[in-house]
Amino acid sequence: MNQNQQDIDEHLLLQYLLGNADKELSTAVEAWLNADKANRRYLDRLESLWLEAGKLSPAPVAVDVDAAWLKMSARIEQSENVELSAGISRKITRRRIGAYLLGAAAMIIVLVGIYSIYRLLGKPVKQIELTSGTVVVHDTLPDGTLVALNKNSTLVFPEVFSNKTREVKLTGTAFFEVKHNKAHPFVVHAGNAGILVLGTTFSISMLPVKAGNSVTVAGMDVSVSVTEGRVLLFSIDKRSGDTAALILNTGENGILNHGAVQPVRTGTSSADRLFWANRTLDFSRTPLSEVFGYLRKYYSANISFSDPAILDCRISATFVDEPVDRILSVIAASFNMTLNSRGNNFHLTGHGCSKENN
Amino acid sequence: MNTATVPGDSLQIKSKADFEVLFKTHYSPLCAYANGFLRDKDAAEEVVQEVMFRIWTCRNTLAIESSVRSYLYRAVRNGCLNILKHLNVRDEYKSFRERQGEATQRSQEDIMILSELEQKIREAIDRLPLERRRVFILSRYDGLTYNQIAEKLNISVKTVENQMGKALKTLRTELSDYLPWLILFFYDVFGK
Repeated sequence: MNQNQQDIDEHLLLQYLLGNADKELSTAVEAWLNADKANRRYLDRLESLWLEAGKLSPAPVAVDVDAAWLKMSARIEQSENVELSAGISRKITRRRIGAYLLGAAAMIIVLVGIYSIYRLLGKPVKQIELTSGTVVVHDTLPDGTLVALNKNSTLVFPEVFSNKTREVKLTGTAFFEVKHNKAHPFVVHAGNAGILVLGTTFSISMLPVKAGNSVTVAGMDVSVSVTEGRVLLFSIDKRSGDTAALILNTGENGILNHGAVQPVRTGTSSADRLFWANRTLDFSRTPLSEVFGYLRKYYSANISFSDPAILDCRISATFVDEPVDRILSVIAASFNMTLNSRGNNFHLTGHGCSKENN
Repeated sequence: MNTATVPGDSLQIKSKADFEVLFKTHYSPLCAYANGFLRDKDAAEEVVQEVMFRIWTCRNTLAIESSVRSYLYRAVRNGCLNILKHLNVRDEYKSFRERQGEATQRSQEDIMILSELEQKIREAIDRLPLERRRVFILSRYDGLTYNQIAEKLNISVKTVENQMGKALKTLRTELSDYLPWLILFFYDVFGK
């Protein structure tokens, strides 16, 4: 651009080219153009640029390539941890098919799997097998993670977590309270599913899927229910090597069905899903009719009431290891009812709630 | 004669650094391509991320006969079509077809064959700092006014003008050698 045009810049020239210039600007631009042939050439080039750029198809989008690469890079790192574990679980799965034939027993115990882990890792790290029989077992893992292992379940974990990831293998049902450690993600293998923990409390249960009418167990549905925090429920497609994953946040539930590759979200889980682990009853707008059912089941409570409308009241509350009279007195207070109790017999007096208001 | 190699156009991904070159070379144009289908920048980025990630995970087994570029475009297109299929897409698809019928009659193959000028313009736009690039793209391709751009990016109109001016200046300078001369009777009009 030649001298004498400090006040004419590209932005103004563009307005001129696009016909957005008012009379004053037009006059100024035209004066500037007439001042020097180079100025005209300059505008010409600008117009050419504008026209040629407009021909780009598809139109460019403003993406932040560096940020995108960081995202990809993080994903690669994460996948490398998962890949490592995928190798293990793939091998186990193949060996386990025979084990499923063992029978109808609900939860499967697989020694073969343990062998596989041994053989694959090829390291002298001792694997510990924690098995619950007819009672629930509570234990602490080497990293401080708390585990409650439901009846007839098995958890295999190394004596020391020496790898980058803390990996354990579950058969059955367990509740975990994972010690947060970003540098060493916690991964649970359960059947074909993997659960990568991003620091948190959650439970996993495997339900056998029967083949047709036979008693033979064909495989396992793996359900995950997150009490607090975030977990990644994933599976690896053996053919393509693709990872299918689902992030579950606090209060969310997911399932990887037997034979499926993609885990899916499931609705709210039952209020008593953790009762076996730490005597938790987690009600979320649960009608008292249902609440009383749980109290009868777990506390053998005899509950009567003055008005059937009471059964329509809904409560949202979490009770952890509370005696039944505490639970009932909280309920009574919430709905303006009086509670009379004698031994394990309870009577509630009040007006209850109307269905419409719920 | 040597075979010309476009940077990032070989699929010898031996290391993460190789992959980074491939990623950074193709990311922006692929997003543009995906955006042409989806009309949603975030969804477009997601599709490209997925395709790229798959390439990384299969890098050892992936056998690509033709060029990486055509593989990438094909994969991104398929990813987009899958998304459109999954969305409640009768309308979406219809408008997609309409869009295709629009002025942009370019087939996938055409997109592969970029003229040198197109290539240079894309690269020059991609080199602009992010905000400046946003302003330029919103103005040139989305046809927004400066006021609309200012509102959308939450910056002042003055900043938009400023960034637009700088973008034009940079592009004009960088592309000066490539831009065709417009043969108009332009000088005569003002020459009198």
